Amino acid sequence: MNNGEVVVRREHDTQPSIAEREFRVPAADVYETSEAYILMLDLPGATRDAISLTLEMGEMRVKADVSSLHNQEGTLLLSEIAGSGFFRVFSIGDGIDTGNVDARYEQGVLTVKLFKSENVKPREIHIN
Amino acid sequence: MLVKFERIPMIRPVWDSTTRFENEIESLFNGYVTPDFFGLRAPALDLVERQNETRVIMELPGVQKEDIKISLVKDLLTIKGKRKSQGLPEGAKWIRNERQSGEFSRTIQLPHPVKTEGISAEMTNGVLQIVLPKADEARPREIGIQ
Repeated sequence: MNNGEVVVRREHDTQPSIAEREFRVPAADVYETSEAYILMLDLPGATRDAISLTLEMGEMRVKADVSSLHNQEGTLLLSEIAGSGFFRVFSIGDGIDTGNVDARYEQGVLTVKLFKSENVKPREIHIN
Repeated sequence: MLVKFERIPMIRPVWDSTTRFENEIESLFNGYVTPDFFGLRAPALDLVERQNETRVIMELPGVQKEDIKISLVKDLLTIKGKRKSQGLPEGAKWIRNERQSGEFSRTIQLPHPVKTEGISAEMTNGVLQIVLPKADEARPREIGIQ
């Protein structure tokens, strides 16, 4: 499917800023079906409104703000849940139809379905 | 389940191994270290004490509330459960599999006695919050001076 194509890393413009470093990298599952790539990311404590998902310049950026979880009144006796949110960038190849993306957030898990472009879908050719 | 992930050019994270040092470390472990490697078996939690209660906040994304068991024995609170594996649809193939499934358990000692009948718990957006009201003897009391 990928034909060994290598997407060039552009680290100079994809390095997170200092502020973004306070964000954790969420664990992700990615799988491929004949029609789409499906990404699942653990983003516990976010809400639909607190998640931003952008597709631009061959990248998909996922950012979720969970700071409200930490701003609870009281004394913190144990604090293991780090950072104020989640941030992760994925490189997206050419074979994705960026106009056809489905995203849903349930039980703290974001599921994004990136449909493949028509020209990269497997196609069976009938022989006449 | 621990599955070695493959780097594929179609979709891959750009900066979770940004620095050379991190790349070196990752190569040492031959790709077995994922961002959430220690994540599921002992999920992270916060413990917040207020005047009349203590709250336990635990991250459990993708865990059904039916699969969580909370128990309290004296001052030891145990939260255990499992995250079910979702598996792959037929004909699909993994590109990355970092999200762990399986059992988890945490036990913490509470800083005060608890009024057991007032305990409540709720699951919202993959976060479990348990409210443990303090027993009367543990609540702050103002003493008047005669």
